[in-house]
Amino acid sequence: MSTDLFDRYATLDPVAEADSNVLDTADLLVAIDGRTTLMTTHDTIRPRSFRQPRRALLAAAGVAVAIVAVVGALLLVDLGGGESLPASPAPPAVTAAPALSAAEREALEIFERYHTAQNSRDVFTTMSLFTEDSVLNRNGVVLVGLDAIRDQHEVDFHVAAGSVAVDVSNIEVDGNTVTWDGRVETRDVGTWCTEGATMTIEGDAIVELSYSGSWVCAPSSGESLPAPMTEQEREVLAVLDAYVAAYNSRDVHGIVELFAEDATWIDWGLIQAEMVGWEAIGEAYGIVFNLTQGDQALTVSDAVVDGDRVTYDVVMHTRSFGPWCGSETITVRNGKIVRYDAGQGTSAGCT
Amino acid sequence: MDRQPSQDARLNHLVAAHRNAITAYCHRRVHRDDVNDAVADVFLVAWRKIDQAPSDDEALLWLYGVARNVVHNHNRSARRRRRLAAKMASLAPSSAPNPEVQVVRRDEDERLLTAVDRLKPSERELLRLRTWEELSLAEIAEVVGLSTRAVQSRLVRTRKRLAVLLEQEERRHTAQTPRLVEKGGSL
Repeated sequence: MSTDLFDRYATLDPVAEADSNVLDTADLLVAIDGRTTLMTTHDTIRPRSFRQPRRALLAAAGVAVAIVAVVGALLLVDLGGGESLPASPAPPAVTAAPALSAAEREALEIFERYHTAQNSRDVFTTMSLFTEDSVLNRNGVVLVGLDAIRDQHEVDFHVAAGSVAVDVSNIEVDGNTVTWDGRVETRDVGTWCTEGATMTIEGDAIVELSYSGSWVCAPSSGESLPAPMTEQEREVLAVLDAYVAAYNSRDVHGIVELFAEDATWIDWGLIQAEMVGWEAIGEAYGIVFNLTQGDQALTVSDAVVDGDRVTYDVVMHTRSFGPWCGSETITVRNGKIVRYDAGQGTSAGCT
Repeated sequence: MDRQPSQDARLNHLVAAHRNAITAYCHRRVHRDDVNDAVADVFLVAWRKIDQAPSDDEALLWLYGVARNVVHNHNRSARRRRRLAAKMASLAPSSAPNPEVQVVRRDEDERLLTAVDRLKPSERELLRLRTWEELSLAEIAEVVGLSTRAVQSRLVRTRKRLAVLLEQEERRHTAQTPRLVEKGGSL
């Protein structure tokens, strides 16, 4: 056997005959972005500058919610003469005419497809609804053509990660034009709203999408807005973010630095102990990391910050113990953790 | 703590510069249906740790390190899924074909791959980094967190072990060949 084994093995590289069906850069960014929306760790504690949703997507996401209601209303219109169907009230937010023309139905269908694609971060389906002559008007900035519109959507999809609460109202369909108002309430960057956003459809394509929004909105009717996050609450979330990063780097020194010198550390799960002070806390994390040798990652979700404390769910994946999940609370004062409370946790039902 | 626009630009740069290499890395180690997921996971981790990402030439090695962990976790999950599926179907656990099986055309290649499969995972990874990623000893050392000397030593040992394992496969094949011919004949 004259050929070196390593050389022979090199010729068996599967990539040499791999499918070319791999994500291109834009798709990959979309895929990454899609994952960030699933990772509430970063939805809840992502720094503000990266969380700020782009307006197109916000409006889009909001409208999609209402579209479901629109379609439901259309079905009722279609079937309203049936004998056995009970009468259902139309959703109050929708002001579509009771009898829609074919063009209006088609416009709403395109409208729905667009927003479904938006919410799926599906740039290909999104772009399939535009033509080379389509126009996107964002706050007076006019983009024309597939390339420009695609670029803008890719930026939107990439940047607009994170969950948002959306309220859409006053959807109207008039001929081939759909008009709506959108209101997006975000926890840490305030509320964004748009009035009179329009989409004009011809055939099966969007010929113009136009909207103009503002971060200064009138109070919503009937309900009070959530109070904006205070500086203190931002600081608490920043500390939690740093804690998770240090933990996942198994950086005991970095973790301890986040605690106040006389901090209290309580864990009724893995260690079942109460520690006070830097030295004891450092030892505790040394024990934790020693017990959970190998690959482990702490994932934080559903962080709820209230004043100087934040409570969050954690899932930890360890080689030694399998998945473990629970709820923890940290209290932060003057930028330092003064108290850490870990509940008992469980390995049941964790994924 | 605020993420600067330049950090997003860095991620974009990482993706643009190293997407192909990381895709290839994942393709060599996970089922083809899962390659895109694995690649996205690698860059998701990169996004989360962009502050730790080295610049320029070292970035790829850093990404390989990230990819090693992602692939490890991914394959472990995949194994669990396969076992569960096998149990649900009341079948013995079936081993999904390794990525490289897709390009096997010759028996001798198959025997080599079988022998490689019998290496320790850490040896197999060194072998792949050396032959498929074509990394230098120093680069492999960077990726796996060993000294260059240790990598060199382990590769020498891997080569010897592989030779022994391949010889065993050859012997097994020789012993089986007459029976196979009798049963199947030639087409």
